[in-house]
Amino acid sequence: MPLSVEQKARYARHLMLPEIGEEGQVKLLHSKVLVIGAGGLGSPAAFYLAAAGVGTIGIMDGDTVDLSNLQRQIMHTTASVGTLKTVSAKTTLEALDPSIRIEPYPFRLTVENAPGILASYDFVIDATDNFESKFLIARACHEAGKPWSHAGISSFHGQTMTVLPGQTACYRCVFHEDGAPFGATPQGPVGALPGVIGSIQAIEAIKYLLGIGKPLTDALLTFDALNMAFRKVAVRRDPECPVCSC
Amino acid sequence: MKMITITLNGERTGIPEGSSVLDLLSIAGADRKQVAVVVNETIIRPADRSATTLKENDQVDLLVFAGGG
Repeated sequence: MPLSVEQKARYARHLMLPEIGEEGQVKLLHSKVLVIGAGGLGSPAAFYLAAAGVGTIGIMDGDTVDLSNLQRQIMHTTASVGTLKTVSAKTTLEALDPSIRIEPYPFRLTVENAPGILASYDFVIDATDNFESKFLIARACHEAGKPWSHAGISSFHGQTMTVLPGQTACYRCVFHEDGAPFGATPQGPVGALPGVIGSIQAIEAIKYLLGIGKPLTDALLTFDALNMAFRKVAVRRDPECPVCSC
Repeated sequence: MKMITITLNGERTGIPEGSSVLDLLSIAGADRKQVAVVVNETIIRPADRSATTLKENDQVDLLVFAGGG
């Protein structure tokens, strides 16, 4: 279906890019991205995906908004403190663009619910705040064959990588569960840090959905905010990875 | 003691010849931190760190576990 007059105006800056154009914008409008975690990373990621016109955005989070979240979780507001993050996110994103569809999942991803939920999405964003969820997403996306973006942040540094299951190095190739500091108390982070990393995740999703550019695969991008230094560390698949070599 | 030069997290660093990945973690003060180790793009699994000897000009990256979101 061609874009409406309103959509042509809304997405005008995309339409002038040869890499996107009307064809790409229609593709985005028909795309579905699942954002797991509606916190620091999930806020900018979902915000930019909604602004870009990604037609369906799933938001998964079982928590409610706490006042201490507002220092970095920009999808939520003072008025939404105490409400479910999925409800708050839906309100914010629909205010930005009422025509896109926001699917709320007010609970955590589990081994049991993952296959059914992941099946209908084109791309997954790991915006969770704990290692248990990150390792679970790595396994679930591999089993579902879903491309996804990993990210993690702490204090003044962050990292992100994109995974094409079965083709490129996965999170579990790089980080081993026996070394993960499960249950560790989160450090910070500085407020704007997830804005940097979550925005990169949104760009990776958009690139994948449009089939443009080179994805951040077989590499971990690290960001050190104190020294304003990005490093892209190349990594290869682990032939003995318990997730992606099976 | 003979030294070799490696690139550690993007910076040229001298370490004693014959050092293993485990030795390097100790030298770098990272032996008590949760890190992933990448040598020349290959991830060194925790169990293989003591048996992996570093060579001149190896490219080594220590990646910190960042679990926040």
